[in-house]
Amino acid sequence: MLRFIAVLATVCVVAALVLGGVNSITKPLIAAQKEKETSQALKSIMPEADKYDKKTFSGGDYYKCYQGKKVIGYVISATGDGYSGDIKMLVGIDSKGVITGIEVLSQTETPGLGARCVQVKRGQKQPWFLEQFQGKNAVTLTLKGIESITGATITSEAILKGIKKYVTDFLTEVK
Amino acid sequence: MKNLFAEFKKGIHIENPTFALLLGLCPTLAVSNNVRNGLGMGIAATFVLLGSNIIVSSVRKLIPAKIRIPCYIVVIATFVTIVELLLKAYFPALDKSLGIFVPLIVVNCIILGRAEAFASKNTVLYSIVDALGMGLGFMLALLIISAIREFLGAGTLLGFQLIPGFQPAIIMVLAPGALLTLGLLIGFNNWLKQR
Repeated sequence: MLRFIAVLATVCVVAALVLGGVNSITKPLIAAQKEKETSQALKSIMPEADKYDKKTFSGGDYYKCYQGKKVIGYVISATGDGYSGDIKMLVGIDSKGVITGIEVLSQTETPGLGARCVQVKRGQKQPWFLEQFQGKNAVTLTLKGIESITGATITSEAILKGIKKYVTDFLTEVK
Repeated sequence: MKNLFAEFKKGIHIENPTFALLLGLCPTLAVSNNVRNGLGMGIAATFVLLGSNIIVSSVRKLIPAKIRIPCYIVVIATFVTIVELLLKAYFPALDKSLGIFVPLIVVNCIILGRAEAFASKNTVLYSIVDALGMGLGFMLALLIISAIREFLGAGTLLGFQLIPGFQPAIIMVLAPGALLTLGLLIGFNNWLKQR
């Protein structure tokens, strides 16, 4: 009996030590990868800005975007309540609340249906679905004039609602 | 040598984990909606299977029979977590496409099944061969299912459109399509065996 306990305990301790070791090595690397991903997303949403200042409001993080000393817009992290989990996005707006760009950071929608929200058509740079939001006012956003994703009404609406809610909250609270 | 080859070959057809042993059906149904996912899951599972078979077969004499299952589970879970962390840190692009499948491997009963049925009774060399055969068999099964589902359900293979104007049946990339395809393929495999 005691032998069983000893063996099992040893196995667990060895496993924990190995995992602890691997984690301490990979943790800073993983954090750096995340940072790189976010800064790439910020660059594609607000290419004109040269400085992104990270701040928080009640809905989460946002980035104040500067060009020189002038504030040219904000990038807000938004979450849409998708068909099978959260759709995490970054939404860029200019000082008037007009959308400059959207980047989906993570989503778990159905492949072939909802996951097509990040599909890029051949010869284009940005996902066709998200591109349609550019130049539209985030607060008065509706699905009118936007071609939604076939077979994925919930995903299309989740993205729209997520953007609308987070940007509206942001504008009433911060600006 | 002949024996080694037989151990390798059995995983591909006669004891194919998906079509014959019916192990690991849950991840099979979930990820076989396109070829890319099927291939990713196949590679990741083979990698973990290889690692866990090596470790289990090399410590098989030290582990008392009564507590072997919890020990194997700890070994497998540790190995999967290491793979996940390494992927995240060094291969972020691969991690993005494999994403949820890596943690899913923990619940893949092929891994525990092979640890229990094979690696705990055989030498390291044979366990490596068994892991490679079983992994390849699993990958082939996933490729066949996902190719059928992606073609019929989305009209593409690996994301490329094959027949312009082909109207795909969306049901095939959803859960019912997975069950239909898997059931028909298992029936086909049994028919092949009985002939």
